[in-house]
Amino acid sequence: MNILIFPFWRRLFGSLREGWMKISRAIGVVMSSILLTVLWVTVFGIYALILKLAHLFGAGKSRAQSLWIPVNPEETGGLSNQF
Amino acid sequence: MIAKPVAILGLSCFYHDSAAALVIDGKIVFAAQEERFTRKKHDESFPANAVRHALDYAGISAKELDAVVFYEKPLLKFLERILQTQLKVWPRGFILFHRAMHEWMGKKLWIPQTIQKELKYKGPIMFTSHHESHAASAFFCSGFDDAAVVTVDGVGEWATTTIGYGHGKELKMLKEIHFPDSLGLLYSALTYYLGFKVNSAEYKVMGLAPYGQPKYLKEMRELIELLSDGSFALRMKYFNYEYGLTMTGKKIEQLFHEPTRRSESPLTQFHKDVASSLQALTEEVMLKIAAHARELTGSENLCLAGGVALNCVANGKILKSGLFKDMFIQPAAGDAGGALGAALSVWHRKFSGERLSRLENVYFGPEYSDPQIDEFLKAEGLPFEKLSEQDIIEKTASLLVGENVIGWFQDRMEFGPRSLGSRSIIADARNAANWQKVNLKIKFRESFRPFAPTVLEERTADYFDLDRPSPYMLLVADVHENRRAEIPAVTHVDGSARIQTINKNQHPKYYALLKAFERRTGCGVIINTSFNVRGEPIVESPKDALNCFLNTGMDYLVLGNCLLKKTEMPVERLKGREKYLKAFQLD
Ligand SMILES: [Fe+2]
Repeated sequence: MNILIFPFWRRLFGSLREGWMKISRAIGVVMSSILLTVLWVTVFGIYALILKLAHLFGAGKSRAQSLWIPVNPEETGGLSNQF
Repeated sequence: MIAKPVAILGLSCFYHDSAAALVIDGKIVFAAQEERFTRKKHDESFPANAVRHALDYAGISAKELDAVVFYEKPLLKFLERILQTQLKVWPRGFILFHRAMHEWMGKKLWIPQTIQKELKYKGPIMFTSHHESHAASAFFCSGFDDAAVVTVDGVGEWATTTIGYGHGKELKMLKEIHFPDSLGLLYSALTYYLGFKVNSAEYKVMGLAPYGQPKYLKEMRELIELLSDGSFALRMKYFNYEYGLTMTGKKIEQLFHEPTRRSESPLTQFHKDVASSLQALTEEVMLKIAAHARELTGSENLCLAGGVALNCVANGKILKSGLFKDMFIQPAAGDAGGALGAALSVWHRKFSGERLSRLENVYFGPEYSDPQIDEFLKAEGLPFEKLSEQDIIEKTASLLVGENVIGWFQDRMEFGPRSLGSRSIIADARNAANWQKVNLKIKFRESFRPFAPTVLEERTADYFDLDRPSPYMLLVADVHENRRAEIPAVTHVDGSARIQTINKNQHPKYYALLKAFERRTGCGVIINTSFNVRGEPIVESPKDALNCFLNTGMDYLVLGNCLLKKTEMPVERLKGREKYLKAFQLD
């Protein structure tokens, strides 16, 4: 009996699991989009506004003679760093 | 006791043109782009196939690697450039922010984990900066004892343009220009405005330029503030790429008084003139950067890498300027070459290894032996003729005279974007009709696109205004006026040609073919174009080559020492053209 019923349950649970994974993935996409939007409006928004104000006060500085930026070897980072 | 060889695997991926390069004891053992295996042009995915081929070729397992190196610094790119740019452009860039976060959170932030998982590797994982990888790929392959090293591309972490100095085993980055100011992105933005695909079709704009006049140079100069030392800043009001899903918008249309060209719509004289103006501006900027690099480093040698170094017209101008005595351009100048540069950089920085002599060729990919090809063709059940090496060369040379177009598949595959005689479509350069035949019936690409010649190295000066070898098709020079009528199929509309020179050491079989052709015709030049159709990666295997042969107007296919003739192919095998061409997205 078990031999007959087991594949049936396995199939049923298998398709239920597959369906649930699809739904949870869709929920995940929606939730992460909502969270990212909140992050973008709040944290990024406030920080960006502060930066823009700071930039306004710093405006009017004279343009550099050269637009090359010297490379500081200290800043290049070691081989094991990702930054 | 003999010391174990040091094996370093360089990887580039997740932007475009992913690749793997294996360097053992400082020698380049294998290098290939992932697109060749997945058959997806400019594939950016993790180069699992390229890595597998590399390890198989060397006969080692991932466990035996001493280091795996990624070609850029992902955290620097994400935490600094991507997030800071988002702050700068806020409140614009909402959609780009979402996309970037999903991409980075989903895969790009987990490089070490991806490497460990994909390769089942537990050893050291290292990171070089994007432009250091480019610079190393050029300098450490140049054979120069010292050189100014210039890299120019779209963008790496922050840098878009750098000047460095290489001396012996050391390479120092000296100066750079940061995103969003980028010559590569300027070129890509105008490529977009001209209706071509970004990060893919920039070379088409270069090919279009000679059909026009630089009438819009004034407008081009409005896009960029260029200083006498080659440093520059873009006027960002004309560009959208910091925050938008397009490269340019309305402002650039107002500047040029013309809308953005729709993809595949007819090209007018206006588009040709814009391409010409962009090319003129690019050359001017590159010359200024080169002059500054000369002044800064005092070196008589120049190394070039980064996507913009594939602009062979600009390279030719730098060479002609006499600023430098000698020049070396990394053949895989784009991001694929970053994998090689990363590995070479670690070989010198971490293992204090010895220098390579000058790169002699770029045949670093997979190869297929005669028995493998034989077995493959028998399994396909197609008629073919098997000849000795000498006979296949002589027979191909005979068939080449006139109007036959031949698929030529030999030895190890090239690394980098150019076909250089291993995976090439070849034809007689003396026959003007071959130009349109190959463009329209074989490659199915735009009719304006020019073809490059391969010339016997010893005969370069007979045909071209070029005083040195150009083995990687990275230099453009004029065809001598008295020779233009002889090789019309490879002479561009302005009398120039993008030259590949070949000598016996680089590719003995391809060289022998050109010699055999020369014996028959007196001509030391043939057409050489990449073995693919429009939008398709260059063929990698005999199967790819056969598919391309069967579904295009090619007359013959030479696979190793086997010859296939189109007219002998079963009719039912020639019916899949439409489906075949649809499989590749137009570039
Ligand atoms: Fe790059």
